[in-house]
Amino acid sequence: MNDGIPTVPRAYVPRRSAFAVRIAVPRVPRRRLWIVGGLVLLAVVVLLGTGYDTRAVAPSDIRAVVPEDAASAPVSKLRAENRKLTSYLDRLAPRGTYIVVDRTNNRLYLRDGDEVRVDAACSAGSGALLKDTDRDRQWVFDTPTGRFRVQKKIEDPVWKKPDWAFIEIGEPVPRDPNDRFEYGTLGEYALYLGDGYMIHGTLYERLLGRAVTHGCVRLGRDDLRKVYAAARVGTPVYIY
Amino acid sequence: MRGPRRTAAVLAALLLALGAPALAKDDAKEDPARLAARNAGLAQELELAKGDDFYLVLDLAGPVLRLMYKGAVLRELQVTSLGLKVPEIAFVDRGDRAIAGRIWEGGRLDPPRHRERTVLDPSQLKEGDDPSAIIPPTPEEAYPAPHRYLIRYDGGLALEFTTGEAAGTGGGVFSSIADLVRDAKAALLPSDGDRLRLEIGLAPEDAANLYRGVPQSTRLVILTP
Repeated sequence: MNDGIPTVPRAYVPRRSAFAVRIAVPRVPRRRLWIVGGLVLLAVVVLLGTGYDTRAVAPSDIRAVVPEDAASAPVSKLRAENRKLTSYLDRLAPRGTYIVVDRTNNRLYLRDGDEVRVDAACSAGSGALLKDTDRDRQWVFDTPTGRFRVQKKIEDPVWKKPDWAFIEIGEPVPRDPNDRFEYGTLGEYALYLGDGYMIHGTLYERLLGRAVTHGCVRLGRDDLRKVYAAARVGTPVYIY
Repeated sequence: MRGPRRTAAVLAALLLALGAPALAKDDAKEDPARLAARNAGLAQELELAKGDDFYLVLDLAGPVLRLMYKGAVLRELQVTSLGLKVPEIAFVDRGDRAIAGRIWEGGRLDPPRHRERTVLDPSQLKEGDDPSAIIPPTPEEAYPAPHRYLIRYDGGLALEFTTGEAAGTGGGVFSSIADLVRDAKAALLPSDGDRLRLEIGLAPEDAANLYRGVPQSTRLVILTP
């Protein structure tokens, strides 16, 4: 009936619509197409091949900058030099027990050489800034960094509250020094580091692991007992 | 008196004769280049230990990464894998691999760790307010560790760490694409780029804690095995 011409279902017959969009395709000479294609390919290669290529390495693959005289020295001399350097470094390292405080992660470590004997949650300085507008003063509650030493070991420490402790809660600073003493808030023990800073206990053990203090380092009761027992006057304390 | 002296001399000569080949054998076993490289690193570590800055020691003999101060180990982190990331432009290698045995200065975190200080103003306190009742954020909330971070040193070396998606933030496909674009830019622009990146695998928690805890402007020395 249709003379061998395949029929197209009506639904598939393209119809001209009032909304038809005409797309004008410019005629590009074949030579220019090759150039454009080449440039695109080059861009892809450059983009894919630009960046950082990761290569797994063994520690021995990493090279060192070696002074010329050392590179040609005999093994016996190099070995003696190695012993000397190792011995110097050993002498600089703390001997026996020492304390390390990571004030950002709020962790305290009691170390003995390579061994970590206590790994405890602590609370370090909040970093807050307190302003006393009346007398134009301000305090920053940071735990200081660096190397300190245990200067005093104190049992049942009593807190002599400084001015900021009253100002912070909006109370007047007392004139009578006896009104500054507070009992029990520092826990069972304190290790005095100097300049008003201590490692001590706390009534707020639920806040351990968070930076809440005015610069001191707070420890939980059980950890404080271990640290206090191990520390001596002179024990180094490193805070970072 | 002559008898014992002679005996001692004979014994010493005998010991020397017996010991010399053993020493020579040890010398033959020891690689002078390896020893010289290790010594170069130790000499730099000694210089750092005498200084007043916090520093990192990447000891490839462990391999371990140590945060140190004046010769004391503050933290020691086990390195689980090592990778070199070499800058390339169109697959052409631009890396320089002699990175051990020298001091790298001015380590800075990228992305940087921001610290916001709370300002306490007692004049703003209302009746019944208790400043101690405010519960501050945990370190993880205060300083969220990114999925990937770098410690970049002056002179073009960077240490790269991955914290893992569980501990860090910003993982996923978009982060990976952003990393690729950033890397391509860093490789293309010499002022922005790193001559070499050392990818250091740590336990995700260690990597995240290091991001939060590493002091500003640490120095670095790499010790070869």
